[in-house]
Amino acid sequence: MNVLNLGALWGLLFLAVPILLLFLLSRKTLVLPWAAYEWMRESVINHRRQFEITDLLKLFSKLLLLLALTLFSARPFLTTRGQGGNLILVVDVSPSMNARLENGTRLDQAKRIAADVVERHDGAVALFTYGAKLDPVIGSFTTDKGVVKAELARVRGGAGYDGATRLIEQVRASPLFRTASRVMVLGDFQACWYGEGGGIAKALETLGARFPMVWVQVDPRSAPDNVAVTDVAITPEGAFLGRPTFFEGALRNGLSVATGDRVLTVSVDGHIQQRPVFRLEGGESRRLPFSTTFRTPGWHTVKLELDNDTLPADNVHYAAVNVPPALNVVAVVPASQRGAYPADLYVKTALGSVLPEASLNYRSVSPLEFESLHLDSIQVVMLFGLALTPGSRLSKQVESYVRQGGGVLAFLSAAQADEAIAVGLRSTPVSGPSTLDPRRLEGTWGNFLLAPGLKAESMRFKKVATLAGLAPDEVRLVSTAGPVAAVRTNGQGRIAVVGFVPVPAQTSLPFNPNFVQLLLRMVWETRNWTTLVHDHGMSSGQVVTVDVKSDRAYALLDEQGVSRSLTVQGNGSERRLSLPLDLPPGLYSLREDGVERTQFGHNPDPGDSVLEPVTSKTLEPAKEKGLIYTDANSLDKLVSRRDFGWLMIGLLLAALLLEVYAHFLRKRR
Amino acid sequence: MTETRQLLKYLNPDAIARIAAVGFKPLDRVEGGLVGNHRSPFHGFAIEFAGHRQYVPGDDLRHLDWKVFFKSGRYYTKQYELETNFLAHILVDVSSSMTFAHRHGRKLDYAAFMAVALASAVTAQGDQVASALFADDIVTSFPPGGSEEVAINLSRALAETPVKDSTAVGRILTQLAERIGRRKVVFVISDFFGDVNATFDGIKRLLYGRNEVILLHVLDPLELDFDYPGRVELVELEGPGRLRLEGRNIRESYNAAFGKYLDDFETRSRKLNVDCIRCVTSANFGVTIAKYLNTRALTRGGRP
Repeated sequence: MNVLNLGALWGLLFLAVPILLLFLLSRKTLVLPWAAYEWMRESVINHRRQFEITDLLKLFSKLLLLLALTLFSARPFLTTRGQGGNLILVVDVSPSMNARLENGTRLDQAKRIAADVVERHDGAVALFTYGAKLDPVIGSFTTDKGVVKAELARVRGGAGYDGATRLIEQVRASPLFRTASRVMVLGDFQACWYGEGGGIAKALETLGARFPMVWVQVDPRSAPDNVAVTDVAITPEGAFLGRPTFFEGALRNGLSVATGDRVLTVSVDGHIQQRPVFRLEGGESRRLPFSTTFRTPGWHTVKLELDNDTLPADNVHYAAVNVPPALNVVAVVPASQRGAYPADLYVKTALGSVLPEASLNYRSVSPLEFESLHLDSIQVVMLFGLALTPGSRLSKQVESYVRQGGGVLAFLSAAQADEAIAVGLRSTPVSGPSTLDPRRLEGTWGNFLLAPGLKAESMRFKKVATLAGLAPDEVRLVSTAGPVAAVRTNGQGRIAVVGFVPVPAQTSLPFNPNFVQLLLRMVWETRNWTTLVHDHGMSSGQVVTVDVKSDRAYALLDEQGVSRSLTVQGNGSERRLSLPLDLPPGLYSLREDGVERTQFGHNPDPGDSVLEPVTSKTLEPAKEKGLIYTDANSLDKLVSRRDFGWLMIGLLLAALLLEVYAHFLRKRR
Repeated sequence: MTETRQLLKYLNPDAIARIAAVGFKPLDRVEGGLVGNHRSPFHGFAIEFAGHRQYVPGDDLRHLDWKVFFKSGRYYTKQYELETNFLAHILVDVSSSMTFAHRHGRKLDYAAFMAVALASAVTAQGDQVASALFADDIVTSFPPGGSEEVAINLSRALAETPVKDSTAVGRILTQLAERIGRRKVVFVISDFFGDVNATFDGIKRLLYGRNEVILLHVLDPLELDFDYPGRVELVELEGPGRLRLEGRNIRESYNAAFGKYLDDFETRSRKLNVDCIRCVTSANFGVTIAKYLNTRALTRGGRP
């Protein structure tokens, strides 16, 4: 017990109470010469025992009362065995901790609870924050509570979150862990991060047999409201200069009840484009479409922003859009198919119908011309009914082009077998009608046909060559006869192989209104343009996906022009750039030796948008390994210092009972 | 002036008048020295005829009943009831215990007022009063007298006599019984805080001489009910004892013990046919005595 505190000194004043009482009472004693002394003495002698008991009871009653008063003033505390000592205090600073409560944010609440814990803990404390990684605020154990509280007050929210198991691993790796007697984490413990109790249990095992780890839930509300912009996507036909580019913003209602009218503000290059109004049912996720037309090539910015709610941090999503310059296409058409209705007629017509004239440079050449063509400025090469015989000049030219990063779209003749042998694929002619397989649209170029009103069966084939020797992730179109389109990476480029030529003799596609969209998808993937660049929040060591050279200097430039240098990590092909963990959400430009390599939007983790806390039941496996999951209301049982509130009430009740019993005892006499 | 006030300190005319108005008549025959209004055990020559007895030589011939002689030829002497006055002995306890006072004055003063009032009332009706102040022995005594001087002397003695430490009521009563002879009236004014058995032995000794004994039991209300809730230190008046106690703690047990003593005292008095009057100092003593005398007259014929 520790009563040596200021309150205890005040409590000591109560010791003066019985002395004062004695003094006052002795002053009030009446000295009375008494005649009937004999009977008085007889009474005293006869009842001396009872008087003693009554007096003792009353004395105890008064002592208990005084003790209760002393406890009330001193507020002493008990140090429970094993609960004092060194405490590692970890405050969650992930974006979800910015969620609003009645009196501030979750982070504010966590800081308040932490300060209370520090005040009541009877031992040394080390303070860490945990967002994207475990950061020491006070990296050694200290008993100076003032310092800890001051540092706590300075704790600010961070970016990203690295999950429960990583937290436990990092605690385990901390040099302070060896001398720690308890780890207490104050956070919001969202179900999305902490739902996997088994994995957490395994991680806890590394801390040792039932090492006491306490998770204090700072916001135990079961369904805190929050609508988040979780993603933005560009439709698969990509972004072409001068043509409307279609986007979809993903929204999620973390609230268990429907929202009212909410507004999403879509800004492109800083200009508001649209402000759609929407409502979401409880827990509903929805994608809101919007479109914009880019007039200039290069980088553009897209920002989606919601009006404010519980968690403002996830109300915004940034993305950078790289719009390619005019599309330079070379179509290689054999002489046999260059008649009045050349094989590329329908492709050329389709591209020309959707791309402005300034955005499309289309050139049709013979195989002979192609073999001597300089391909540096060519973005896509289309082959129509040509056999890529290994070792042929055409094959060599195509292979060289692809290896250097070019995109090739090869339409195989449906009547010719083994035409794709040059890229390791085999083709088998299949006669007879077939259609796109409606059951296998997911993940292919034809997945847009899953939309209501569209039918895969409308894409019919008269003759088709099915492809074999494919990895599952290479398949891009599947007919009822088998796979008819695939994409294979070769070097830095890609080659897309299609088992038909889009002419009326082989397929109905040229007359299908969805052919244009399908064609754009083919071109887009063949070219492998990275149009929309953004992330979905950071985890530890998130990598910027660019080719990194060891002898170059890399830096990040934000919208305000503030530069942050990046260091290259790893060697050889493992070289990578990791984003700073404390990078706030926004739009950034990655510079290589001062030259822009890419732009990207950096966003909060969408996982942090689901504010639903994990349930205690989910964490049962972890609890068996020593985890204590609780909230601030139950903290008294866990902190080393325990107040005597109940004891005080008990003492008062005992005093009252003794007084009443003494009264009845006296009455009974 | 001061001396006069001291002399008359315990004379309360109102109480005396109240008691005298009722008067006091002994219940039994009394032996007085003078002719009075009370029946004597002796026969004499007076107004009220009592009977005849045979003449013996030496009888006064004036009392021969000649009518009987003429009818029967024998000599008979007429006899008459003898009426006499009575002698009341008033004994006042002046021991230390009588000095107890709480809110209603000292018990001794209360006893003094009663004694003087009784003495005045008795002498006023032509009877005689002898008085004595006692503690463990007779402190002061006055011979029988029938004048107002008796009350005055008693008042002065009560005012001047210092109190004594202890009481021996029983012994005093025994001594008195041996000294006063037969058929007297004895008023004992005391708190009777002593040896109760000895007290009643003395009373029995008095009763043996066919004396009428009247006990005036003087008590303070606090002695009857110890209604003092606070801390109190009790100092024994007739001894060295001291008790420190909490009034509210002891009240009920003390009241029970003292009540038992009173019940016992009064029961024993009743058994001996001795009047025991509880005189509480909070009450008007004149009223108390007058009420007793009235009750006595109505129920036992003790009216003069």
